[in-house]
Amino acid sequence: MKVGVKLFGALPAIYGGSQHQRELEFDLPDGARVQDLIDLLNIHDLRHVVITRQGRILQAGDELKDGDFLTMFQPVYGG
Amino acid sequence: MKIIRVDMTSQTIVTEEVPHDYLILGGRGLTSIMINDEVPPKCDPLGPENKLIFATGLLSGTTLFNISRVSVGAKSPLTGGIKESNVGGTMGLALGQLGIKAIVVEGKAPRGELKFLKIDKQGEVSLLPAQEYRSMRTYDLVERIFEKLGKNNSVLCIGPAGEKEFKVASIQGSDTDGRPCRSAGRGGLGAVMGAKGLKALIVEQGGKNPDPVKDPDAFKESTKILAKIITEDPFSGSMLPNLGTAALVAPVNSLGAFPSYNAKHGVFEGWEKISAEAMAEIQQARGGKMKHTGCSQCIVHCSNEYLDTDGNYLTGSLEYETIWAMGGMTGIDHFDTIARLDFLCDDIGVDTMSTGVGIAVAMDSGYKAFGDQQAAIEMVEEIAQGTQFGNILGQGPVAVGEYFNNARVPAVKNQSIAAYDPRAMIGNGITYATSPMGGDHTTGNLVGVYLGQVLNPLEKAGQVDMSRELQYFNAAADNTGMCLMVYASLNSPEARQAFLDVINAYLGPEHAIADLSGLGQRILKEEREFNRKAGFTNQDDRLPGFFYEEPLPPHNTVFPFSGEEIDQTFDF
Repeated sequence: MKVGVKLFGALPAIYGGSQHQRELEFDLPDGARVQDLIDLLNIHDLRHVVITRQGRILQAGDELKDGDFLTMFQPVYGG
Repeated sequence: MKIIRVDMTSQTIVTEEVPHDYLILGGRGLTSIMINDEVPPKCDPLGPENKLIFATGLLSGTTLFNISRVSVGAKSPLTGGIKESNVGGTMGLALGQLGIKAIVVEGKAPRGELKFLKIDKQGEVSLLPAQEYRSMRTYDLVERIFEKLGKNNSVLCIGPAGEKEFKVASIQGSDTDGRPCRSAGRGGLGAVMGAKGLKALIVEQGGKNPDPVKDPDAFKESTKILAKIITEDPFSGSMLPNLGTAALVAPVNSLGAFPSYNAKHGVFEGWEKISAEAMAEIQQARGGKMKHTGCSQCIVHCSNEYLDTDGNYLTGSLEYETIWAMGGMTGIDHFDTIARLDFLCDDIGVDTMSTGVGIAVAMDSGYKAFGDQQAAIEMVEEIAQGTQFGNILGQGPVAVGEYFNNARVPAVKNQSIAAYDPRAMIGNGITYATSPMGGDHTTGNLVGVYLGQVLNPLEKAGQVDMSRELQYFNAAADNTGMCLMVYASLNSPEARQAFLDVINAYLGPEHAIADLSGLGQRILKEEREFNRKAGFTNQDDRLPGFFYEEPLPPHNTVFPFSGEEIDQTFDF
């Protein structure tokens, strides 16, 4: 299945090698979970990355679906 | 350390030593407690009985970093309650170096008179005539001040909106480049300054005051620990220097909590065009700065210098809340227009948030179309021109709603909310409702709690307790003069302890503070007491009706807390 991801903040430079406008697309096996994507991107610590789908924050064990579009960014405290 | 009292009625200046009871206070703690002690709660905010207090943070003037905020306090003409709004730039250091803890501006200048309050680096204080600067906008004003008195001065000033005593009038502060792009924006404190007849506070930099730190070695050690925490934190050490506060545009839209089109939707269609990432690309191409040191002693560098297509300065310190108010709320997805609106607000001297929300309410009422860039610029200009509509917009979004008979005004205690919709980040609704300041983004913002996945922004559990805890901590932190962008990163128990250690190294054992939360609670109690005496009740701690009635897409949820649940936040 295919999953689209956009990276924000410092994440494009760290994980994506891309500018934020370019949507990254990943081929993942059916039944893949957020943890599989994290492994693919070589993210070591999920506390430093927030992944959302349709307005909700995903956890490592959440299942992904074909056609999902995810945004990824770093925690921000506010201002 | 001293307090300077300036009576604008008699044009007299008196210097006092700081009373013993105020020794542990600074910033918001000092302005709020002094106002509760000295200002008649039912007074006319624009009359002679109100007092305008400029207070340096407890730690301002020391060698600690990011400690240059100046709190400005008074009874607010916008909310009718107590108000503190703090501003960065260079004034905090300039006053701190002179050992000035507060300047209390009392009375009211004779009608038609306008003054500068000038303090030189020897600490001499004088009132100077400023008639020739009447109606002058802030950028021209500051330039003229520098021409006359030298660039080694820090300035807090008002523009034409403050002179007209508009309820959204700001006080603008000069940054490290001498530009008046820093704002004590909220609550109409510029109107109080205008009503007093004070056009600008001008303080010469480089004053010398005996170092007041009681335990210099412990202070130095705790400062080192804090600096390590701040520079190694991904947010304050990496994100803010590269993207500034605008880095919030992506997360808050991704969580469906970015109030757009006057809070009709939680995701702004064009949000990627007004994101920090987009701003960085635009400014990289034009030679602008995303990593700019706006304030004295800053180690974060979250400010920016925004250039136009020709490479000329368009605005500075373009912040997330402004991008939201002038972008998402108005439906404008063109960054240069948002930057232009930010500049205009700073130049005329109005709060970008209340002004942007006022424009959004007007657009929502059918006065102009959402997304009409030219109309938004003209509306802000109308404030300075004093047209019929400008006079309404200058009194804030509630006045705009009343004019158009539109109840969809996202404001609490007459002050607009901030860039987090209380239907999708529900704890922020608790803070908006219960903060003595009204709708606000600095007194207890839960966005970091949600992004750190401590709480779910849509579930009720834990929100009231977290809002309370943050309101206490932030009030205590605002006592010190430290920038929110730094203290927001002090999340671990070790970081909070290091912060307390540096405060107590400054105070010494005789005045040491046991815990920050206790100090914050004391400040909140005094603020709420003032508001009670001014006539506020629990019924004022409520959100506007549409937040309970209109589901917000994409989550299609409403604000879920009852009045009784909101009232559990504070039992005083």
